[in-house]
Amino acid sequence: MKKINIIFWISTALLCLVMGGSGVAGTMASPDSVKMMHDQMGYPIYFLYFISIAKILGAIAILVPGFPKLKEWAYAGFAFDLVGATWSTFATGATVVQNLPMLIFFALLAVSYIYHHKRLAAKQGA
Amino acid sequence: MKPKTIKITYWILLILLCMFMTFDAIGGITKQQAGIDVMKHLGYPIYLMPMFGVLKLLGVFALLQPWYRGIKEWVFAGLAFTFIGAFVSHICSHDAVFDTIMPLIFLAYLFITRWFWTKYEAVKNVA
Repeated sequence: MKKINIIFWISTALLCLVMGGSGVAGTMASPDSVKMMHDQMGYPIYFLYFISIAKILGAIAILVPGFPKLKEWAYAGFAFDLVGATWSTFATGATVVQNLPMLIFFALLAVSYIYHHKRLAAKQGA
Repeated sequence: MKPKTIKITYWILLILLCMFMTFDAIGGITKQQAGIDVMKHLGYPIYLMPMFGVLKLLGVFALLQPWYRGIKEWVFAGLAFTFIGAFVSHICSHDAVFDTIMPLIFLAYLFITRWFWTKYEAVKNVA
């Protein structure tokens, strides 16, 4: 159980740092966020605020104790966000090499999700 | 509610949802003009249409397959986020009231379907 907890918390802390951090930058409409979402990928500015608030809420849902159904939705939302981001970067001319960091985000999400369920199962068994 | 009522209602709601999603997905993948007009009006890039189309088809498959229960929750989540996103987008684009609340009606339909799904899972093995 200790090993499960350690892996869960490291992956989850990093995941929430990445998603929550980009969410905070987005709600402040940082020049980098606007350049990427609006200028390069062609999304409306209001969507930057929408997705940023959604990311912050998702990070909170995953970090607070309890609410397993809500957490499931937050993980799903993060997965769809990453799929959408990957699709958008490819559609607007990014190369596979430029998109390699996405693999790290997907890996963080997968590890955090798998170990979240391992923790749930361990708690139910205990 | 009788198990039979739950089962029948669940399947009717689910099949209607899947038909709507398939219809919408094909429209997106083939980039129908009506879809392009909506995307342009709301300010979204057109390249997203095939992505939503493919995701919706995967969603239909996930909803109809009987083996993995957990993945269905992700489809409900994804559709709910899409409808909430559509609602917010129509507000931000100052659209007519009817266009704006339409996604909320879809969202209500989705939650009713999900509610019947949880009931269905509890009674599906009852004859």
